[in-house]
Amino acid sequence: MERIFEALFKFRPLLFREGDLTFATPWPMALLVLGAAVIAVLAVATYGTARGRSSPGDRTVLATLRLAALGILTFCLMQPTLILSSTVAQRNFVGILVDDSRSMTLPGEDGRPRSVTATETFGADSELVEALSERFALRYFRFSGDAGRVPGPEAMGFDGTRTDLVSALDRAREELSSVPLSGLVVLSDGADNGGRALAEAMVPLQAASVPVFTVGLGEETLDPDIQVGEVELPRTALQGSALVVDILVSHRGYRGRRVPVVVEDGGRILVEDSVTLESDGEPAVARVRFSLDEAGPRRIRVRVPAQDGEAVVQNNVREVSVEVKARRQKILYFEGEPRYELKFLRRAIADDPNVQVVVLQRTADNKYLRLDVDGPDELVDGFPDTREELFAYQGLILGSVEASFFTSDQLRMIADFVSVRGGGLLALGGRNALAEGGYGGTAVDEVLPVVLEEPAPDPRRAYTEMKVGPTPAGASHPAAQLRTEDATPDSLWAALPPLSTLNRIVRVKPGATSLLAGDAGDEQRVVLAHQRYGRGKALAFAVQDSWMWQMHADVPLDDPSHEILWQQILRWLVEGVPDQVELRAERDAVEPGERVRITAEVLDSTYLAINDASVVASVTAPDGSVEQLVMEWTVDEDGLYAAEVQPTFAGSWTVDVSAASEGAIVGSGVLHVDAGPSDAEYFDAGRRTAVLERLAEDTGGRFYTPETVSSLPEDLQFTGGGVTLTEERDLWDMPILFLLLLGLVGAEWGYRRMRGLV
Amino acid sequence: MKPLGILGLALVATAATVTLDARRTVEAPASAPASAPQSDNPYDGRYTFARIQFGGGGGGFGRFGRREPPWAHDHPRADRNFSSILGELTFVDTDADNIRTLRMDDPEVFKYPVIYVVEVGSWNASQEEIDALGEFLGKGGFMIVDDFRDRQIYQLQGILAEALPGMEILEVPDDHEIFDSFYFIEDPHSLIPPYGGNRPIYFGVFEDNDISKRLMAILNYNNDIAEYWEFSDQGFYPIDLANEAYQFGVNYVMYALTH
Repeated sequence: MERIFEALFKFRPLLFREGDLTFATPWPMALLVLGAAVIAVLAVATYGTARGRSSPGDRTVLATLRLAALGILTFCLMQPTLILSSTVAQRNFVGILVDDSRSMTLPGEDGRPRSVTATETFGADSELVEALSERFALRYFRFSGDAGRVPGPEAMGFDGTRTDLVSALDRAREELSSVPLSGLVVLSDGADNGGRALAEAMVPLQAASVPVFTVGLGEETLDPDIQVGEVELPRTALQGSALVVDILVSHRGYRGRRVPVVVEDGGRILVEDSVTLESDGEPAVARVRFSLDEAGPRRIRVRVPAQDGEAVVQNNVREVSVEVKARRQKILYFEGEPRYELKFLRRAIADDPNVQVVVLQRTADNKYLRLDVDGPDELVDGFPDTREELFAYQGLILGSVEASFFTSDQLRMIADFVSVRGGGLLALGGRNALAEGGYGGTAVDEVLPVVLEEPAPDPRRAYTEMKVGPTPAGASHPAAQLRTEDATPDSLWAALPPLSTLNRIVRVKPGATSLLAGDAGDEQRVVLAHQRYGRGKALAFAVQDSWMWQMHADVPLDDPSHEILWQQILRWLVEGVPDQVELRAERDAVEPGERVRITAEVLDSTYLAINDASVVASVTAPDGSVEQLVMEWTVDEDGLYAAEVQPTFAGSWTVDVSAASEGAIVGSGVLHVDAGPSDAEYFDAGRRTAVLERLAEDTGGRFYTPETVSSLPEDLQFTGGGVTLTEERDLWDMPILFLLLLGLVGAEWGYRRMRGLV
Repeated sequence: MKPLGILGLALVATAATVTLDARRTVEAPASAPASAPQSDNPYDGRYTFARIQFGGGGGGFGRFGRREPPWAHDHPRADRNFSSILGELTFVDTDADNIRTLRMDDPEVFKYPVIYVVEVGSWNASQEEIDALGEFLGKGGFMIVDDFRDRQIYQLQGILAEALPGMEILEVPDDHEIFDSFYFIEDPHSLIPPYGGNRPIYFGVFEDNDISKRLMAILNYNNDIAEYWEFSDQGFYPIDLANEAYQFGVNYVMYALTH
């Protein structure tokens, strides 16, 4: 289309877009217009007064055609000219950025590797480079995870494990900032995985009026291919916790095929499942369950074995880092009345090495029984009065204890335990719990995931038995499982005896999720529900005798359902509860030599941010060498400290962070960064045309494919920045004008012939 | 106020109620102790006193001319009096009017994780009862065995050995948690048996025969605390002894509800 335009209009559309139209006639414009008007009037008058066989309609058509032809002649006499800004030859520079990442080795549209296309198109001997060199001084850059100058694309290895387009553009712009820069040319598949927004690079380019010309390499979709999508695993997990993970498998060209999905930890298969692939591009979901039994940093590998004919096999494997913690999370269980629920809960988690339930049992008025406390002073004054004391726990269970037992400060503190401290709150059912305990309208009510109805006047009369089972959301939720290794079959739920409740809960709050539901005959009850609240989460388990699932005559002695359910609930309750020092790495896997930003959030014992802490990171390399780094307060965010770590060689790097304030240790944390080659480049490795087009359009450049890139030198000449001069191009001799004139005159003659007016 | 003081007051406070009940019971036909408890309502989530019934229900002996089966000694007055006291003194939600008498092989028994058995020397347990007892204790149930002495322990030992193979009956240390779960009982042996005689010994059945683990059953060997409960409102025994007997019962239940 562009070639047809150029044939008709003499120049390509780009030049018309970039240039300004003007008329170069030496005669005054008014005189020209007047002359044209006089001729037009005469023409019309001539046709108007003509007599003969012609009808008024014929005369109108012929007059119009004649006027149009006269108009074109007048336009040509006005000497239309295109004023263009053109770069001065050999005075300007052009930066050519070539993607040096592994994805460039994937096949392009012609079946050859993208890197070969790049090398041939922009090689030193290519016609394109020759044309560019005639007018510009060329500077080559390679880029992947980092960017650097190279003599040409021939010198590149195409083995980078990441594509950071933003950094590359920044680097080239900065390096060429002292010379007149006409533009940057980017050769890439656009598969940017640097993690930074493209706008970060575009704003300074726009400010400096540097257009970016992008050349997209490769096909937009790889076919046939299977890809393992993002695997959403928690950043940290308690040792032995059952995890339920959805694995997305997308594909092209394998519709209807059933493929295995394997999850491994250090070469050991954790679980193997399979999934049937749906339509092209539509991800299929494999839901797998497994537990991580080995403490420490774990690299979990999810893979789909390579299928015959796959375009890329490296994207069949996805690796995710998880920090498996062996420590015990402390949960305070405050029970207002002695009842079996507490006894059986304690028994259920007695062997759990990762959960410690500290019991404060109110046995009588002002009389408490403390169980599993860490020292003689723990909870010696009853339920905590201070945030420091309460926030030392990761979880809180409220049993059958009336709201009026607490002061309003304590109720607020319980709410803050969830929202500010990020702890997990579990509210159990009972005659003094939930609405029947008077919690409606209190600060704790805000936190609960369920809607508290009007309390029953006599909870004992509200006694209701329910057959309990999972909701669709609960069927796959880790907190609602009766088995750890496999999904809980419906038959297991069906075999469990009914439970009873004194608290009528029929609704969850907006944003909350019901996990277990009870069939109370006339209505469905909410049995187990959860919601996020602030930094933490809240659960409600509105029954009074989950212990029936342990004791009931119908439950076999060796049935682990009750134990597993409680272990799952409590582990989920305290999973991911933040500490006073919380560490995060920008990425958990980097290339050797690549820098990674580590941040530490430092909070005091009431979980308020500390800005004057002394935060030190000890970075231990895989060879055992240790380097100390001071983490500085970021200023942007209260309590946030940051430092950059640079793993220089492959292996697992350990970052131990310790924070102190006013001479006292605040807390510490540890995280791991894996350094090594990554296969990230092979994921979503199709050409991202939209990204490259946007980059070009927003900076005033243009997007090309290898087939259309031949116009790049001319485009650069007329759209690039740098040192420019003004050029004038005549338009009167555009072929379209001649053709139009010919057409109009021919049409007039043809019309006359047709009407017999010749 | 100290718990002991509370206990004393509660005893007096509940005495009136219990006395009325007692009068009614005394005036009732003497042949009805086993079959006519105040009520035998189904499970409703509350703590309910559950007494194990065994044998054919006939024979046996009784006080004041009553003939009652061995399992029913002190029933139902002791059961009700204890439930009342437990509800008065502690925050345990009880229904003192509701007393369950169940056979060990009745599936209903699993809804009451604390059971009470007496006169085990007369308990010729069937295989179903033995199996159920093993399952009950294994799942987390707690058994209070009261009112037995001398060679009767061998009968119990035989039942338990079959119910829990490998089980050993061990003496519960005086400083065990069960003697400090609500009241601090400094010397468990200070409570003299109602009938005099031998020094009481507290045996126990522990998980894995490990006294640091859960106590699954407590055996009041040479003692009969329910005897004190039964007559606590009639001045038949000194109030101090009744008081102490209640302390044992409250502690047992409190331990069972929390361990």
